[in-house]
Amino acid sequence: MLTYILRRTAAMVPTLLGVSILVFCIFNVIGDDPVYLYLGKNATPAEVASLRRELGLDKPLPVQYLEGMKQLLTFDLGFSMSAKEPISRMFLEGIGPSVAITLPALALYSGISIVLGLVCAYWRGTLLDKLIVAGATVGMAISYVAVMIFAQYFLAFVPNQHGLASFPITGYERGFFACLPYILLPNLISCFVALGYDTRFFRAVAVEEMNREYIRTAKAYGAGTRTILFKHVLKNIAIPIISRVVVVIPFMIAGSFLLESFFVIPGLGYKLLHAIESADYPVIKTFTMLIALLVVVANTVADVLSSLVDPRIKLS
Amino acid sequence: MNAHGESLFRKSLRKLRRDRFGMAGLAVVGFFGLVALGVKLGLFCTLAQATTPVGPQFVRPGAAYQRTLADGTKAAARSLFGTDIQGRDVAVKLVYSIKQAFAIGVIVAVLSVAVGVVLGCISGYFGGLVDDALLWLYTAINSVPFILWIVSISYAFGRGFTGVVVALAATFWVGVYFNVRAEVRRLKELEFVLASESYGASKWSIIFRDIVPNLSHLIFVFLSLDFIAAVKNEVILSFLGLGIAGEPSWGVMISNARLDLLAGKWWEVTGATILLFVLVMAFNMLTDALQDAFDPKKVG
Amino acid sequence: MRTKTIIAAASACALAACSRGGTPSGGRVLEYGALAVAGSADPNLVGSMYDADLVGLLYDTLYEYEYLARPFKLKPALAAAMPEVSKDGRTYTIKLKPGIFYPDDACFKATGGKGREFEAKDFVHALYRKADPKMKSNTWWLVGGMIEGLDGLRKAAADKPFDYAAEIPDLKAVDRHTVSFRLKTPFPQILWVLAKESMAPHPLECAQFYGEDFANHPVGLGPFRMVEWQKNARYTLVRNEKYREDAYPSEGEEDDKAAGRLADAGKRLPFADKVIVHEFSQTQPYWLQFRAGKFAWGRVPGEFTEEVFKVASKDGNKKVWERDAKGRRVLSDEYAKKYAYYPLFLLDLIYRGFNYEDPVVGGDGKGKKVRQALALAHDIDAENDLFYNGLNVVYAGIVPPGVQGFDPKVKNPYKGQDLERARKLLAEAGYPEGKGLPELQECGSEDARSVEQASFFIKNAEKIGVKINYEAMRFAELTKKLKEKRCQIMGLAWGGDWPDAQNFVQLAYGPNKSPGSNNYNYDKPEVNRLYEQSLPMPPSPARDAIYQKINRIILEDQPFHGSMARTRDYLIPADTLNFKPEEMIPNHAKYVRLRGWPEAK
Repeated sequence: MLTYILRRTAAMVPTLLGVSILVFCIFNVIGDDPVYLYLGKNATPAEVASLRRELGLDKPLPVQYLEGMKQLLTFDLGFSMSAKEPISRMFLEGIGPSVAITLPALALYSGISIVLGLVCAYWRGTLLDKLIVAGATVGMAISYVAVMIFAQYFLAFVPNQHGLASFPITGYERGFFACLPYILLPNLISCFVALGYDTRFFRAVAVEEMNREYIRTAKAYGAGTRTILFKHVLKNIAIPIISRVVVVIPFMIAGSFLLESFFVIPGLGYKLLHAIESADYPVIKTFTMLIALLVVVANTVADVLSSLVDPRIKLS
Repeated sequence: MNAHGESLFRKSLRKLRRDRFGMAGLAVVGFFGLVALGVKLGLFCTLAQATTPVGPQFVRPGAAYQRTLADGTKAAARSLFGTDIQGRDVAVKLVYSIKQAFAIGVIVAVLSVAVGVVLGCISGYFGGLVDDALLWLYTAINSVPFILWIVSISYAFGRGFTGVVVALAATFWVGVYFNVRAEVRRLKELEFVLASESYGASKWSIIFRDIVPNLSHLIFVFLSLDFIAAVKNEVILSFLGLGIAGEPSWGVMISNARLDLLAGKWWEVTGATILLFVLVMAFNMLTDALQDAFDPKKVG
Repeated sequence: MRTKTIIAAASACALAACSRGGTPSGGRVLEYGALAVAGSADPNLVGSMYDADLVGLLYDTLYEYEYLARPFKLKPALAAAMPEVSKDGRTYTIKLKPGIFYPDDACFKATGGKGREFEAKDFVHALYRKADPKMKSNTWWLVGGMIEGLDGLRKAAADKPFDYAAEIPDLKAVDRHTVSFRLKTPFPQILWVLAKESMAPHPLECAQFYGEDFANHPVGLGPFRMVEWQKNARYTLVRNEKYREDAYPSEGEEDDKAAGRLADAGKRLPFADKVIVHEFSQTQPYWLQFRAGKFAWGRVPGEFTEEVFKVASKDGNKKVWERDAKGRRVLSDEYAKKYAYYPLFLLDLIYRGFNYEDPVVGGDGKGKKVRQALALAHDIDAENDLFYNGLNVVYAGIVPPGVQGFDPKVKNPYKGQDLERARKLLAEAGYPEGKGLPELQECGSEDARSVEQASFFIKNAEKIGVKINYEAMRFAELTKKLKEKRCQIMGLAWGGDWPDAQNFVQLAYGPNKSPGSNNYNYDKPEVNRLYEQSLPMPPSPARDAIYQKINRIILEDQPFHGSMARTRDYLIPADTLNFKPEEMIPNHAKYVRLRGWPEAK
């Protein structure tokens, strides 16, 4: 087991290397030049040159890449140019809100969609299955952006206009209890948006499992619904479930750009978006790398977990 | 082997034709496609029409107003779906945007599927160093949330059609690649491929004659999935200020007019949302039908 | 077990909030929204109006604006009196108020964390920090090139650390409570500069103690101090107990009395114990929050103007607003119940510039005719109606209404739309019906409104056969392109730094061209000579005459067209007292009081 974990951990290195090269290419080779932005309205060419020198933008590209990597490896993450904060602090502060608006939603919709998926798979082809699938398909077709705009308007703004206490329109408070009212609506939205996809995903997984010989045999031998669904199917689809849920966490956390910027929640996505808007290289690079690190770690964890559930996986 | 592929294909088509939802989806998609083609050919709702004011700003749907005709004269008219901030016809913009959606969807879907299938076949069939390198690239791209790549790439390429298409295609191909690779690895161990190999067929002929036809279900499904994803992501990019500039599209309409919604000018956002919904919905139904019809495990 | 998980989750949720110091009790909490986010609270790094608003509340300046006086007037803040100016107008000596202390902060190591007294050297050091190239100050231009010794220190620090111990004769602390400086040439506007929040004195030891993090650990003399800053979302300030003696003004305009803005005359400032500012990057949530009653005041986004005010009639896109006896617009019934309104006429210049160095649209030959033709092809009044509800003030040239030197009688000889004349000029330039003229490029920002506005201009240009392609870009890219003179046409806005015509006329001064503020690189010897001649002059009829001379040349050359000044409508809820909008003044929160607040002890 230990060697397997070590091997998986070692495998993270080339992946991260790949990410760093891609990120470097996107931003340093084809991206914007931030220098003028930071010099105010009346910069002189001499000031431009000196800032460029200071940021290391005058050096050859490979040198710039290596220096960036050195900073990352030594955790000398530096300072944000636009937010004027240590990047490490920005990242740490951003994790809390991002987790708060994604994790509850993830738990909620994963739970609901697994159950719905199983139900559909068992009663495949019945009216119930068709209704759920139709609902999921409709849900998938609604645009995320539209859901946000209309939900904020009808669930937060209109009730507030009529003096009804409902969701706060925007904002965020730090602290477990303080943040609750603010994270409700964003969580509901991401739950709503993801439910369709996940229901269909888990349905597909469960359907495949239901088609296997042993289930048919179990059915033929008259095993109960509950036994089949929860003992056989759920146990055997645990691996795709675990890997999907674990892997999706960092994606959700970083991918909540839209929710965070729309609801003014100072999470990772929001901070990153601001950095992108203000050509804040150090932040963009570091954030992307750290998010990639999270994803890769999550992948590794998912693999290790799967191997715990099903030892055969290790062999492949 | 070819004959087998043919009959499988025909069987699948027959199954697809029996799927009422799938056919309904196909009909809607086909209708949208015809409209898009019409716009593309300049038959109606041209770019000039979609960007030229025809009356005062913010005319409500159904309201009577003085419409400026193409020759500059004015005539009393009843508004179909209102006008926008510059007095342009929202209905024309909505229809024009169908073309935009198809342009983005088709180009992104074809590009990403083409790249994904070719690389997936190479990777899955040949294995070895090429496979390692491609898998490495796949893992690297897959380790960062797609939205981050999409935003970064379209940011680096600058605002506009090319930026959007490059960003989406450059990100979407990996999904195709990974699935194709897995399928190719499975297929290449199957008897019929092994048989072709033993007859001494060349590797490329095996890939194109034996393997690719058996990937048709993946190809159709991914074409359709990537189309939907591209159209939906265009809206997100526009919302983030990274979408297409200068031409109407649903994303641009939704994000530009979202403040107008609160001010009671609901038609632009609503119109774009509804059309987007209908198209995506139809495509989803079609995708499902394709999936059901073309999945080799289910055909037969 | 259960409590444990909750605690763990709670600490994850509360990760590293930078909370410092306690919050005084009391219900005097002022909340409002800002329409963009602040990046820095360091006076040395004030990059936007929103940074300025924050810094203005945390730091104090030598002089400040009289809150209610219009036209604008300055009064001493940290200074004890108005400066003594030498006969040649170059040496300024300023006495400072003694006995003003900084709030306690860990950075005062010499006193064990206790805030020390404010001294003259703090002003000198604040300017040293601007001059220090390592500090990357974006407001160096405020003083750069004005004080010989300071320029020298900056030059000397190009390749070695800045010498903060250096003493120079033309910028010094004469004694603990007196500063003096000597300008290279007379510059009467320096007083406005001294009132800018980025010129606020601050303790050098604190700036050095926190290093780059000083932007997040402000230590100032302002009416408030910071207790929490959720970057990009919200900051919370509390009353600075050590704030200097400061009283609500007792003089104002005619309207101020009627609006009840003089009722608190003479009362101790600030009124609020706590200020919470919500930062937004989008207008929609801002407006929703304001409408939900969360903010002490609000700005009406242009999209809602029609909902907020009564429209008497509409003629195409031209809205005729219902007006009362005084000529003010009338709030619609729903809004009139809840709010009072105040239209703020900004001192600014929205313009569409043409790169004067460009071979096609620049220069005095053919390019000038092309510029004149495009100005005539465009319909600026229609642009105003479409995009600003007709509420902007369209004016001629470079001196905006609201500053001395503005002349409403001046007419723009190339004001459109006159397509016939435009076509004629284009033909004279050698491009009949646009033939032979390459496609032109316009640079501008990528927000929806700018794109729409540009497309309106482009449609108008098409009418005379000129093709223009709009390149929408992010601010970073736009700045770079402008600074490198790579834009042919550019849609920009200049917000005044101080309420003096000089701040606008300098936009046409040749030596200020890119990377300076003259983004369209206009450089005309005659204008340059006139501007130099006017520089030492205080606002006066003589200076006004020179400015109008410059204006006439600009109007003939049309290096830019479409001058407009924006109007911003502020809504003031009935319970908000003393709020008088003005974007030159950054510290409203100090003056505003909500009805029903308990009296301060």
